Amino acid sequence: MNRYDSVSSVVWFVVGLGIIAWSLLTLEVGTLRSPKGGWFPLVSGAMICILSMIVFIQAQRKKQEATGEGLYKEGCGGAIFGTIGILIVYALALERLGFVVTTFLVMAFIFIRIARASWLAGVIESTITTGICYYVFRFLLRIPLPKGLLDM
Amino acid sequence: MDVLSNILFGFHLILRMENLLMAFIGCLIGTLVGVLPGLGPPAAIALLLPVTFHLSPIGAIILLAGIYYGAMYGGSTTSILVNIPGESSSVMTCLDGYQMARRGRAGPALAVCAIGSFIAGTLSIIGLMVLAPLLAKVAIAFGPPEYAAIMTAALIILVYLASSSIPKALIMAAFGLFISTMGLDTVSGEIRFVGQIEELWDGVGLVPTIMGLFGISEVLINIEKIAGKQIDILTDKVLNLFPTKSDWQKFIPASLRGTVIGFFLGILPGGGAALSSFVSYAIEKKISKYPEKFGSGMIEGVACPESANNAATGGAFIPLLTLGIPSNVVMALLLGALMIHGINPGPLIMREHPDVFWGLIASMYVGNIMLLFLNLPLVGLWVQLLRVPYRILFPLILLFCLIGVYSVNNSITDIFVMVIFGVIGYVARKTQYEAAPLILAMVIGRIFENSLRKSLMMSDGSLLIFFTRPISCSFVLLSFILLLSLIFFEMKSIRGGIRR
Repeated sequence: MNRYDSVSSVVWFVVGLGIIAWSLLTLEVGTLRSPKGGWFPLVSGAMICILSMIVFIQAQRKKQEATGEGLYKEGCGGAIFGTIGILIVYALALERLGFVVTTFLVMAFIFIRIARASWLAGVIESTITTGICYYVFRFLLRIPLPKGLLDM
Repeated sequence: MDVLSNILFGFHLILRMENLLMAFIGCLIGTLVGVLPGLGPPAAIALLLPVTFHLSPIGAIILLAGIYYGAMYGGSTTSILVNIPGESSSVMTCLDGYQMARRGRAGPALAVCAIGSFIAGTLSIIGLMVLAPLLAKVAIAFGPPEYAAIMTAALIILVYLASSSIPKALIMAAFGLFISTMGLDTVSGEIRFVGQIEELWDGVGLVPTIMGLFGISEVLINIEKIAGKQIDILTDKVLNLFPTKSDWQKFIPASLRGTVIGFFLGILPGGGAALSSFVSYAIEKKISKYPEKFGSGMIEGVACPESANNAATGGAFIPLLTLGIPSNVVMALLLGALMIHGINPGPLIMREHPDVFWGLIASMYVGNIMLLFLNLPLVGLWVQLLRVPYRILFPLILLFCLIGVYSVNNSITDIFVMVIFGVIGYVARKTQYEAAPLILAMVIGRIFENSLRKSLMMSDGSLLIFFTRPISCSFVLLSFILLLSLIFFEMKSIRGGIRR
């Protein structure tokens, strides 16, 4: 049995069922003669369910892979989850704190905590990165960036 | 004569200073993207998409196309000197290219890549120039059943060529089709699956999805891979760039064979540059008098896949420009870029927007010459870029992704979409689900759904409409044959554990 395929096929089956239920409950499906908005998503959901069952059956027949490697390499979990987390923090803080403050803080966190730079190097690198990006995107490419706290 | 006057018109456009500059910037960024592992052409194009909003349509498409074929050139440098392919399409170049470099022949290997790429790029543009108008004439007669049938075939071919499991690729395609239905249904006016999130009423954005699936997930994967790894660069071996007489005799025929294979495989949905280089290398090895020497530094093993992946870029433009159907993720992004500028690629593009079509073709000629000069004399500079540690590079990639996604619509929702797809992309790669079918299905999903629904309404619910029209019938039959063979392979695989 292949553990990843078994688990992923069950997840996909649930996703497919969810799509089917969502289509039936919130949209009009119509008929073949006059298909409505829910028809196409319903078919997509049904396809996902059927295909996930095939993946599940195949997974049961496969031999267990010997590697036993997890979803992420040992010791890298902090960096992976830290990166995902900091991206979410960036999205939440960007319009409140503004581009300059948010970018500086987030870059400093990435350089120091995830890329393992020293405090001083991390602060210098994030200051330079923020400054260059602000100049390039704000002035050269004229992309409007959130002003926030510093009104910049 | 018509083609000649049109291509002259294209050159007249491209030789304007602003368009030449766009072609140069595109080639430069493309080479950079190709050289640096960790940021592929899809993420780079998605990143620069917002910047092109301020450009003319022709300037935008020239810039973005330049990144694509520039990356094909640049990807070979890392393959030869570091044994790390900058792009998936350069994987095969590692086999013989790196061995040539280890034997002190990095210079000729790099030169063969650049010259072979130039030959292939130029010939594939000629193919595009000849084939695209012919196909466009046929495509004018297409109605909803033909489009629905072609898109079904496109999706199935894509899945057929998927390197991992077929059911997994189909799941990703079906999920992509579902995502394409999110937002406003243009036929009934209903809002589907996004509730009160107004930013998603126009649908889930292509840019945040691609940035997530390719940019963010790539960074997450590379954080694991490259952490602490020391890269060995063979810079001291880049001497005597010019190939010998015997090299020329060997690599020119290999390059021409690679061009033909690459061009036609590039047209196929999902074919693209990577598959072209794999297939052409396999064929070259098969027909060689010394197949056992492949992998030990054969110049044909460098010329053939490099020519094939460059020829594939020209081929890939054919279905995009004539049918409006992208054959790979990069083409899907270019389709998005054209649509943002109010241009709908399809059979009428040559009549309605000749400047875009012929300007793009002319820009590819000029771009190929620029790339030759960018890649050969500046190879030392590109190699130095590889010395930038990944711990500095990946925060920058993350930041560019964040700013790029936000700047498309000034929307925080898009950043969340990117992060969600980043996680999906990471888990999908770890569990061997490919992202490409999801993106392509998502891009063609809306047109596919509308064509399918219109066809069924036209026929009063009868599926026979797809069999009574010759073009749709041929594509439906092709889909059936491919599907049956897929089922056959899967059954065999389930019963006997035979790998496809």
